[in-house]
Amino acid sequence: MKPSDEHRPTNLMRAKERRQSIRVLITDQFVEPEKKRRLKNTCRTINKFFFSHLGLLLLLVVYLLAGAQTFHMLESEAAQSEKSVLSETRKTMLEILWNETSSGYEEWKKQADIWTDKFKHDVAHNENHGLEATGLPIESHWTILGSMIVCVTIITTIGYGHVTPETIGGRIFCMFYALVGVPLCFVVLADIGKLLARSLKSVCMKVDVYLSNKSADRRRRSSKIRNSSKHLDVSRLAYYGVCDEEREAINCKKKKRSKPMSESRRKSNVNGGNINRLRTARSKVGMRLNNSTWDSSTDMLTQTTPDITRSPLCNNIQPVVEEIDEVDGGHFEENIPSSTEPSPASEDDDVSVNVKIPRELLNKLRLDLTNGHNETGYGRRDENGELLINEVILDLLRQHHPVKHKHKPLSYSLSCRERGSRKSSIATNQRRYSAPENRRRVGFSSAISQSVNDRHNSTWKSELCSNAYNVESPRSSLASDFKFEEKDDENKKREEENKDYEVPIIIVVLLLTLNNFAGALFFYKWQENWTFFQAFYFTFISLTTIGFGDIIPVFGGHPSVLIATAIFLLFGLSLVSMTIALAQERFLKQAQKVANTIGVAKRTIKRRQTIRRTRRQARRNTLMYGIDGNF
Amino acid sequence: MGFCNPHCLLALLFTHGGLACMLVVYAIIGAAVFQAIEGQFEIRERIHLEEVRSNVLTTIWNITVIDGHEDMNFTSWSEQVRDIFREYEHEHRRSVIHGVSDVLPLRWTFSGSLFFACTVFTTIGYGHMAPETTEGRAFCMVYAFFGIPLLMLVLVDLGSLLARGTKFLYLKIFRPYINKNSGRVSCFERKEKTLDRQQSVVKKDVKVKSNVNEMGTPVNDTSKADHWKTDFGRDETVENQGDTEDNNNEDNEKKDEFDLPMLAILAFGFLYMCVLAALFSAWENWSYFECFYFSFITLSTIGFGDLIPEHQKFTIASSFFILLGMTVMTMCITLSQSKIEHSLKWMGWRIGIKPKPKETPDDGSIAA
Repeated sequence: MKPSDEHRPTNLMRAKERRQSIRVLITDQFVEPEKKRRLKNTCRTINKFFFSHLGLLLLLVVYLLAGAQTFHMLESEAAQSEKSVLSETRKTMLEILWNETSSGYEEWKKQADIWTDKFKHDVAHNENHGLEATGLPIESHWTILGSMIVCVTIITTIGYGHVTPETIGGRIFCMFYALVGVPLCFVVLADIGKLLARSLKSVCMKVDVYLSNKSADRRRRSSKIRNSSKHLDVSRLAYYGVCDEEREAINCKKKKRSKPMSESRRKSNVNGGNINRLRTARSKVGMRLNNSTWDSSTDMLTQTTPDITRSPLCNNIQPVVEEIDEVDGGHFEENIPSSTEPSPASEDDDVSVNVKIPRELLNKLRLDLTNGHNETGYGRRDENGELLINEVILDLLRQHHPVKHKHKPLSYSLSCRERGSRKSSIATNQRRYSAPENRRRVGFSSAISQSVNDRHNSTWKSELCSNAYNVESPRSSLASDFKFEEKDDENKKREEENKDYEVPIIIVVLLLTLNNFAGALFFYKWQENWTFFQAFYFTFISLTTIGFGDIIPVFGGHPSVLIATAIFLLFGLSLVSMTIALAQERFLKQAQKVANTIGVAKRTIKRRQTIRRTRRQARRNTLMYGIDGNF
Repeated sequence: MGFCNPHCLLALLFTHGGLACMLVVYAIIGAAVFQAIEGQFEIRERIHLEEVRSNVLTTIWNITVIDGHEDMNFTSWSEQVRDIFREYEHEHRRSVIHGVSDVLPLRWTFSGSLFFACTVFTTIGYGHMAPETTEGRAFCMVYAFFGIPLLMLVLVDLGSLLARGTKFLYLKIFRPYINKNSGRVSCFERKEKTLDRQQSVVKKDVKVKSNVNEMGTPVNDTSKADHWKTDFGRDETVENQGDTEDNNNEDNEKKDEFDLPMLAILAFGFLYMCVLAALFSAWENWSYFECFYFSFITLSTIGFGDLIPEHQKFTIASSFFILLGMTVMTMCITLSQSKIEHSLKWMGWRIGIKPKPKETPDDGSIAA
């Protein structure tokens, strides 16, 4: 079963679905009366509200109230029947002590020891059950509010233990309550935590972007001064910018590290490397390719009316493809400085292709353009073939690049460089998009071919498809840089944006500490005989859900304070869950890095081997493709 | 091409075992420090209490005997003695609040401190023993700050291991007997999925991250741990993780194939609690229900502290079993996590606030 065959039906099906859904949407909008639609929308809004963050919180509160009521019913009578035996023990002890005095010291001491032990047990019992010295309860622990506190401690798994269910019914209910309540609480807390994490991430990202933009502006300004003459309008750049011979000339002039000449280069060198001829060619090329003339003397592009004659050299126009090494994360950099290569001595600049397109596709595109200019079937033929190509590529990229930076619109530049040579030109308005790690690089060829399939009925599409499909480009294809996903939701888009941004861990820890301090302050102000350290300790133990219960704030009968405590606990816990959510991503990434460096990950080894193999292969292959078929 | 490479196997074992060892070492360190700090305090307090008690008794004896037995009657004597006793009672109450008692055996022994350290980093926190000194409390906070993430890591690690084993067991042993048809379909699905994997961009890291983002609690990052582990070559789990919302699969088959039924997961957790309860009922003289209640409260990390295993010689064993139980709980949560999320998403869709869960494309191909 050919893989490509399998894909086409699914894509067709999906397209069909989408068309249908669009049709349905349209009909809905036009057929349904206004009122109905509004009603539906309000229903939807109501539902959204209830099952959104606020709704979940409400659900939690309702659950707590229900639990409190049940516990109150189950436990309050049993608690009231707790009696203190302390007074009786005291009486008995005193009597015995009095009576035993006559028996002598030893005997008396023994009896005294026994009875003081019992006395101590009773004191402890009273203390643990909240009974006063007089034997009466200080306050019933199982009032509604008290039970509410117990419910909060149960579902957050803090579990202080100062008040616990004693009856069998109470304990059974406690277990079931926890069984449902703990996951519910986790869900609510995670929800709020996710919200907090998202907002924190976006805030941090904005700050980060602002700071980096400032530095980038600084850089750009400095580089602009250096390379003002070499700026080219990116979107107009011809994909085929430079002829092969020209590049040869440039390279010879630049005294690069000498590379063994590849086959096609040698062949094309037969035609001569005359620089003048090259210049003419280039100017002709420039004319042909752009709406502008490339004045090679001044290296400026000027706008002219196009002269659509076919240059005799157009047969030799070859795109220079950038063979890319393993993408180091697939970064597009902001403002690649043209620091190195174009020495002022060189008379021209290299056109840069920064878009990484597989070779075969490239060949096909080129073939198509140079052979039959008006027949690519892209549908948007222009006289200037390359614009079309650019547009197509740009379009594809724009379509499938999910991230739109808020500050700068994305634009792409095409830059080419020779293999082994460093990047030799700048492109303005360029931004690098860092791809997430661990992406598998498969499928851009297929993606491009699919899109080409679906959108344009090119004659050569099947050939392209099959060729492109069968090519395994383990090196970075665009797929590894972009994600071809369809996003339904704004949320998803935002998540994708925020996904790879890592909030610095310092900020997270700082937030937690601040939260702790806030809680400590709250309890310190409220409880009279607590030191600040005690309040801090209590907050910490509660927020980590350990909940010893050795220090318990005395709820002096102010329900508002109780409610404030409960709210603080929930908020604090959601902050903790946000921390956990943020930290574990980082932690696991770090751990993965460690694992990779240890060499345990098989895939890394495999990947390295693949990379080495493909590098070796690529070195053998040529970069320059001749139209004469040597590619 | 699994990880049959001995090097990889060894490394993997080392990772799991290494983490567990780290946890044990951490617990031991904590126990030693707590014993040093709090044990000393407890000993001092007990000595003090003893002194107080002997003082009280001597005073009473002196009052009773030296002042003359004859010209006192019970009432006047008891008046004086009562005051003394009231003071003594107050003193004792204070010591009870601090958790010190000269009646009960010493609590901050090594095994007791070990048990306490376990309650700290598992966040159970019974409270029957709690640090009283300032240094003890400060160290407790620091200990918890580093110990809780460590424990979560270990639990996630071991929990995912257990989860894989259980899934494997379930698939190999129970599935062929229960449902033969689905077995065949699942093979087909597997083939399909491998083809898809070859052809499409795998978004497993996206899905995994979305799993994490849904529920930010620590135990739910097992999917991330799985993702991490799959880099060691476990292709099976890649499929499991990456295809949870693959719209090539039917809903039912997907459920049967990769998720244990919810009932089985709950039953597993319940079973472990029963076993633990049986253990404790053998050691302690509680009723079976009390033991079950204790194990539930412990394993859910609520940890009231009203019931505490008292026999000191079993504390190390109890700690071990409690940790094992928490691993089992983590495993249960891991196994049920995807189901819970799926049902939440499904509910959201039904209510109308979320898009249909199966509309996300599975591969990266573009359809214009």
